[in-house]
Amino acid sequence: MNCQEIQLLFSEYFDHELSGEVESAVREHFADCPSCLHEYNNFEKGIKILKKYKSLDIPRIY
Amino acid sequence: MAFENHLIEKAKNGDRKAFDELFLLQHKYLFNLMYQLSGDIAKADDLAQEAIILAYKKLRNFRCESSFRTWLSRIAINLFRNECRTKSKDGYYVGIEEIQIPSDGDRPERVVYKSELQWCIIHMLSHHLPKKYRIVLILRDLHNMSYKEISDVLKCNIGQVKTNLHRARHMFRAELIKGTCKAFTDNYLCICEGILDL
Repeated sequence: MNCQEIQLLFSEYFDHELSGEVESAVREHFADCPSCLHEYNNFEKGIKILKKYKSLDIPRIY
Repeated sequence: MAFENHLIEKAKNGDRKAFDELFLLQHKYLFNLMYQLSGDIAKADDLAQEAIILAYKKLRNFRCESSFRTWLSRIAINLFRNECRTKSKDGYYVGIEEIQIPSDGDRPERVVYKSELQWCIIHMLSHHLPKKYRIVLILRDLHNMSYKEISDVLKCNIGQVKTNLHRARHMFRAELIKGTCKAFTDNYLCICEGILDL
């Protein structure tokens, strides 16, 4: 897979939704491609910020 | 789940107490979902209440083919979409300069806003992401729904969920960068003024 194909898989890779074979291919690509790894780390950072959001308590009981 | 199914069956047979108990289990979730989608507490409160009333009326049609939460989410999201359609606006792409926040740095409200990553996230979601991306992002990353559950809520195929989620996550990150979020730049000018430990 080339860089463009790898980058289309970032979201599923983050969610562990890829097959074992494809997930390994992505991991191997990262080992050889610092540019994609950097892109992925940035992508992951955005999701981790979003996940810091905490639910609010409800304003009142219905 | 067995307890929930028990309540559903009782509520379907007109047991008001069972209905109240059923919705008490879901109403914090429902309110938060509506707040995250709309970015407005009063609107979230109204939409959550409307969803509960509608669910009460439709409860007899609930066939337990999906979880109760999935079914309720679908009702609430449809109400939210209708509300957007009625007002014929998507409510996004409000410039950072248009954000209404207290301007006086010494005021307590300002301190609260500054310390709230919460606020920044809600603003990004409700003003900078198109509705279809906002919905899928919130269901997955804030409510940990599986791809299958999201496809059930939105009545679309899993491929569509994957595509929209991928785009939504890229878009959310791009908006954080545009807003010069501290997580992505040393020269941050973002709304939290860089005090957050990201």
